[in-house]
Amino acid sequence: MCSEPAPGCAGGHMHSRALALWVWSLVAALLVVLGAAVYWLTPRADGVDASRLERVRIALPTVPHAALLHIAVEQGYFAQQGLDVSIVPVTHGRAAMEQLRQAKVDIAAMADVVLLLSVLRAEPLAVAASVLNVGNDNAVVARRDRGIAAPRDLAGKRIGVSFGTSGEYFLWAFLVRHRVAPESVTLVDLAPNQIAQALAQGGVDAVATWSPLSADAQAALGPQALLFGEADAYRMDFLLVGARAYLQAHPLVAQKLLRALLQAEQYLLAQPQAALEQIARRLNVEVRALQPGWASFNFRVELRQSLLVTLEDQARWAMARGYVPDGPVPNLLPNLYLDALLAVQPSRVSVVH
Amino acid sequence: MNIRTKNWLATGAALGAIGLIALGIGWSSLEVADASRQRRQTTEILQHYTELRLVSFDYLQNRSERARAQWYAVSGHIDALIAANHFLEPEHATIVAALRARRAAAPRIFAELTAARGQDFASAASRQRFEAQLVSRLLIDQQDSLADAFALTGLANRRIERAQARVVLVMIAGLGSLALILAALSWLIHRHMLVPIIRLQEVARDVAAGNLNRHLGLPGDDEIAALSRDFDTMTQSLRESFARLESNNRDLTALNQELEAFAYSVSHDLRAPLRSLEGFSLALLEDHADQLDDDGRDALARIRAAGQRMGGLIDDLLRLSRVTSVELDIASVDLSALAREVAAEIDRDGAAHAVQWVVEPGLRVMADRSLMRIALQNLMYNAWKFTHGVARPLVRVGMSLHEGRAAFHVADNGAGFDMAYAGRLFGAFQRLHGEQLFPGTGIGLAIVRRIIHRHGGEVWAQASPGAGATFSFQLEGVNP
Repeated sequence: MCSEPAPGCAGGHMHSRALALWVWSLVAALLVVLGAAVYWLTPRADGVDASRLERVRIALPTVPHAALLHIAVEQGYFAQQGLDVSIVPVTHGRAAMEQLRQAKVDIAAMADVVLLLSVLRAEPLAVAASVLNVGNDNAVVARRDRGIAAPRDLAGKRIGVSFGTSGEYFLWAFLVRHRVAPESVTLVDLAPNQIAQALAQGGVDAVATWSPLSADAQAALGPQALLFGEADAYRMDFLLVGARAYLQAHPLVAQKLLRALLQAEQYLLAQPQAALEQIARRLNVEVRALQPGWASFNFRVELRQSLLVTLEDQARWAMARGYVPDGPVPNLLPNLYLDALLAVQPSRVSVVH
Repeated sequence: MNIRTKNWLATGAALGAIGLIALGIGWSSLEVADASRQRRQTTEILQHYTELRLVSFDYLQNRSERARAQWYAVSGHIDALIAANHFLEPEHATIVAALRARRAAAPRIFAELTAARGQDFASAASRQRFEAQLVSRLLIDQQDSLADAFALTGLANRRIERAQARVVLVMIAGLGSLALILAALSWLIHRHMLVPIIRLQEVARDVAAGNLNRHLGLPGDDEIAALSRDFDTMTQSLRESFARLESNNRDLTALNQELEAFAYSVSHDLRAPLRSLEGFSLALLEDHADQLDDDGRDALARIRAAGQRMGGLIDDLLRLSRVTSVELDIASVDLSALAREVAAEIDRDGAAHAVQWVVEPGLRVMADRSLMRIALQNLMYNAWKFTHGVARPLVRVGMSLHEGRAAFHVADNGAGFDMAYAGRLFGAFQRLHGEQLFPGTGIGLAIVRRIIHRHGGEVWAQASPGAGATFSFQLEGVNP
């Protein structure tokens, strides 16, 4: 080896050039490996081809329970996931179900009771995910001047509810919880937007409804109003529902929907105040009107085993109420569409399958 | 920027990168430890919820006091576990809050369920609905709590995986940074140190080979640039010194040639009148001796003796001059053989005074043989001469070590001399003894010193009056 540069030893410069080349090659290789590692280890959103957006129609109730869907719309998460979502706003879950039944939308958001009643009527629907679980949402607002001071005093009274909604099921569970025979009260079917007025005008002795309508009813009645909450009676799930055939035919659409909702969930966790303000703006209500019930809302995209238990309890109630003929509780497992959430985030599925 | 600063910067950058790696790994390890603690906690929660479901079904089936007590015991474990606040991330905290809310309701519901047995209801259906609702509530809460505990375990696992992935990323990034720093350092060393040093080596080699006109001229303000400037200043000084030396050499050579010519011409020019003096004094002695009285003849004899002595002096001068000018022919010389040869010659010419010669065998030296013969001749002749009158004259030629190097000597047991006059010893025509006692011109030791100096060596003497003298010399590059 020529270790010293000399006239007869041209290898000295060649050797140092070769060494420099080797060192820079090594550096380049290291940078490539580093870049690849960073690319490999960095979480990133799936690429979206704007020209191939898939159209989805969603019936979206203007209620805070559907907050994750509203945030996903506000933040553009659906578009990010490659969905061209058109929203059909509705007042509440039962109206959303009506849109779905008429095939005016592909997906609808609603309370568990609404789904259950449709399923019991043999409608081929399936739940893609629950987007909210809440235990202290519904409440009974009663008039003191009708001799009501405690839940037991509701026996024999006229109580306004929206039939076929979570409000009606809550009232049933509430009465049972307080050992009042449900048959001892007279139920009056009221549209959600009629409830506060009916109570204030004395058309009913009490109403049972969800927030923020319960707060509206209490405010409309003033000091005469008495509000009974009951966290142990019923935990409601707010569900994302579609025709089973539609979900099975469009698995990728369902997955993209759920991904967008998971993004919304993360946003809500990271920016709770901003999310609340966005929801208030979309629902056209004051932030403070939402705040009382907001803290108890558990916004989480998931499918729990307990949802089946709740739906089965509701099925027994529906039979007792006469919504469907009495009989054995049907197997509701096929009405849970697990595949999409299993594909997107399997840890969110605790349904035994 | 100088090399020291660059070195500090590079070292600092490398240590910084290592520190960041250590911090990254340390941070991730802490996160892994924390997430592992969370996982252990959630695993325990899961285990206790499983037990709770077991004893709940047991109680609902058998309504036994033992199952009721177990329900409360395991509930206490769960409450203690959930109370520990190890879950600070928003998603974890939300799940834990839901768990705590359910745990707050569970004892109330269970107590109502256990109490319902002894209470009156409006109807059997009312009791059945009430109990079914509570049982359903308990089961739902337990299922949800199990799901939440699983979710917490999953989140803890994800944290661990993320932290581990971060360690890998930190390691790769850190190693990459270190590689970049090393490459930069290597480049800096190569460009700012290695290349200049190679050039310095190249130029130094040329300068060592005699090319003093090489100029380094490295740019910059670092230590190597300063060294380059010093080196160029040094070569400049060397060039100037060499120029002065060459000039002096030229002057000296000219002077030597002049001196040699002068000595030659003086010798030749002096010989002519000396020959006339010799010739005419001889003719006067041969042709007119009868006309001279004894005093005249004695004066004439003295004139002739003085002329002959002057002839000897001129011969000695010529010899000294030749010794100075003759070209050296360096070869391996057997000094022992040469000494024996010279001793034999002296014995032959001076048989009246016999000395004992002791020559150490195997003496060898790299020198000009003919000049070394002259030097030995002078030294050994002196020794022979100054042992006149000694009962057992002895002359030794040998070798000893002087300051770690071989020194040759010629030692005798003759008259010796006083070392106070040693400084005059090697001067031309210097004598320490009267000519009547020891005849000679006093040029011999001057010739010896000239020969030894021409060989790059040194000659010196050690003696004391009446105890003999030792003349030693060393030649350049001669070692034992």
